[in-house]
Amino acid sequence: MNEIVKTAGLTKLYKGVAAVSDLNMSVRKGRIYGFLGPNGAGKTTTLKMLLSLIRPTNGEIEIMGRRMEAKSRIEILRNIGSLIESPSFYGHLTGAENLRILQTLLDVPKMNIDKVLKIVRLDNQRSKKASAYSLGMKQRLGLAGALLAFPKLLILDEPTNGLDPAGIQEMRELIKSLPTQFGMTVIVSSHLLSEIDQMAEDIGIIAKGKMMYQGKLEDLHNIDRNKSLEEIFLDLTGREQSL
Amino acid sequence: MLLKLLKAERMKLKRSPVWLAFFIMPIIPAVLGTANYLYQKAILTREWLSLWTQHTLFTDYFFLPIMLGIYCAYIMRLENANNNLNKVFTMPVSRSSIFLAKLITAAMMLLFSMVWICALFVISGYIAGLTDPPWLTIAHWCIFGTLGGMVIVAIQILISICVNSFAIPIGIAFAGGLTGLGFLAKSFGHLWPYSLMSYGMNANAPQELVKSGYVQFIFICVLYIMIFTVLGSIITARRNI
Amino acid sequence: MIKLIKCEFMKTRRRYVFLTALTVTAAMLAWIYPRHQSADLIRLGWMANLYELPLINSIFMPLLSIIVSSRLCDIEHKGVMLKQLAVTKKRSQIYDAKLIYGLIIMIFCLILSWGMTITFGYIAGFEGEVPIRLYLLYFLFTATPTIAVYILQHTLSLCFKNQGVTFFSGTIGTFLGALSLFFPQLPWLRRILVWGYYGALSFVGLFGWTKENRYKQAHFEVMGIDRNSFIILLFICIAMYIIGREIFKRKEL
Repeated sequence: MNEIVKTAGLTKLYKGVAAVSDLNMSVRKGRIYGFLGPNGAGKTTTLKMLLSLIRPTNGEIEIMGRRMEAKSRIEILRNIGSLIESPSFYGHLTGAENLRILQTLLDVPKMNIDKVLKIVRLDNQRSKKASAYSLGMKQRLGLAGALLAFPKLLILDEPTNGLDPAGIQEMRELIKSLPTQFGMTVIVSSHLLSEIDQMAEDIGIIAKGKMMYQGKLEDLHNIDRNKSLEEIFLDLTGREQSL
Repeated sequence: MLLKLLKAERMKLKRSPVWLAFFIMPIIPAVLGTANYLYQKAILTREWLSLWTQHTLFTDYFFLPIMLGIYCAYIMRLENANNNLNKVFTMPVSRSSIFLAKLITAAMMLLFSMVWICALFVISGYIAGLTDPPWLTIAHWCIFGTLGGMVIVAIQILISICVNSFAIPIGIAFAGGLTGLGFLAKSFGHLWPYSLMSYGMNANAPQELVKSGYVQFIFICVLYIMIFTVLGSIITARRNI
Repeated sequence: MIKLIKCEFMKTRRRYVFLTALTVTAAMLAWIYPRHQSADLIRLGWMANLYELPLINSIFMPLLSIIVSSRLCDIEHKGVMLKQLAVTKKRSQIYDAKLIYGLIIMIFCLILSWGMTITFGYIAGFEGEVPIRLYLLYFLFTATPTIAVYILQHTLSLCFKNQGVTFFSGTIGTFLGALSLFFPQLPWLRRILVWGYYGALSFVGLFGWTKENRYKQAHFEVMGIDRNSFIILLFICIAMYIIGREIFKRKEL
């Protein structure tokens, strides 16, 4: 069993319009999977379905060899850390208190809080109210929450949103270190090819809800040697959309 | 699983002094009600019972349902803000227990206000010069009030989950309290969810809960709580974020 | 200014503020109506209304104010729009536009409930003609406290992101106000609270009511109209408006 996430014919219709259609996603264990697509391509919808935040209209999801359904949902979620859309936080609580709540629900040791705060470099700001955090700090707090249980699978939706260049660089290095350091598999979505290019090993490109390409990143380069990666990406996703 | 969730709920309410509102509110009718009782001692001859009617005036039809409505809306708003539902729903806990945890958290606040109302009642009774409080009756009011109030809490949590707004659930709680009084006046108070709290507390109500009705009262309350809990769990479980 | 109020109207699309307000008003009317039933009350109907309605208004109107003002202001907090607005328009204009829009809704509800009360009276067959002068006075004495309360709630809803603050303080105030009506012995109590002026300005008294005969030999009389209270209330309105607007202007967003 090499695949940690596998979807078959995954489809989500909103009022008859397909946000995601017939998606077959395959993520290999221990890899960093870049999920790339322009705004509104269906990235978040797909990731939300993986987390069973929304129900697929059609299709199946298999995570860690188990079909995602009502029975298995809790067991599967125990092994996933996630950061979807904007980070979640209770504004009137401090960063550490926010993590305390998650730690209680996840049933993990209390010292994990200190560990992850250190990893995301928020340990100096731990007693500040989350509402007073800057956008980048909120994003880090979100990441800390996702890492808290040191899950087998990490799902990050546009994790570099709101980070400054140094923060982006740091986040990238951090994500790259996760598979080797903690044996995690990471799915990271982005609308920026350059970003995915620097950290992902495997890649899935989605446009208008359809999977346009899936495979190793280096194979993408080989599609057309004469074209830049940027051009290949634009060809795949349709130029008019990326404007 | 439920215990974890309850613990988490308690942590979420840190630094939001909502309990203060529930602490202050019962003091108002206690002070004014006792004052009124002392002024009108000549007409109000039933001692503790008369004092109780003075204390519960308005509290049960209007203000406690509204306060509970606000509390439930507040609890849910915490989740609706800042994408928190995303996080809560990806935690390894069942969705129905999420609903149940909210319900119990709100019910604890209800119990707190009930005990506080009764404590104030006994204290002001002594201050007003009454002796020998009817402990058993007071305990009944307290327990039945909580049970009846839990029906309101269950509905309000349910509404607050369905309606992503702060004001609307509270408007409904307000209207609910009114209908509660209406149903009591028409002697259907033992059946209508929003009447059950005032009915259980025998709060100045046109319809009185007598001993022979206790079993029926408990049965109806539990039935309502179960219906709304099941409904709430289903809705929470089926919800798309 | 007109443009800003129009914006307010557009913002509340699909928010059903007006509908919410109408529902609460309808609930209030549904609650008043069944009261006009006993023969004695039909005989005394017009005056009985003026005696009883201030209490009902003292509960309904402040609560309606909380709901409407919170609903209008919460839109901005939710969308974090105040920052956006404050850089395009003067703070005072934002405050005013929202206040005016809210007051329009409130006054509409006031007129509706006033008109319906009279209509109910005719349907129930109240004896005699409606004492229109007294009813107009009653309207004025209901609307003014409502405006004062609304200005207060408006300021709270706009300045506090956490709508729990608005709701809890407003509800407790309403509670105090409604209870103050039961204390004619303590006339100062209703004058120190904005919510108490529904009582302070009520001008009809009930005489001859007994437990045994109820309204049989009772009659209502116009008592003194409390001009001083009304003037104080007007000052309160103005003061609340100026202070509220100033607070909002100085608030850091």
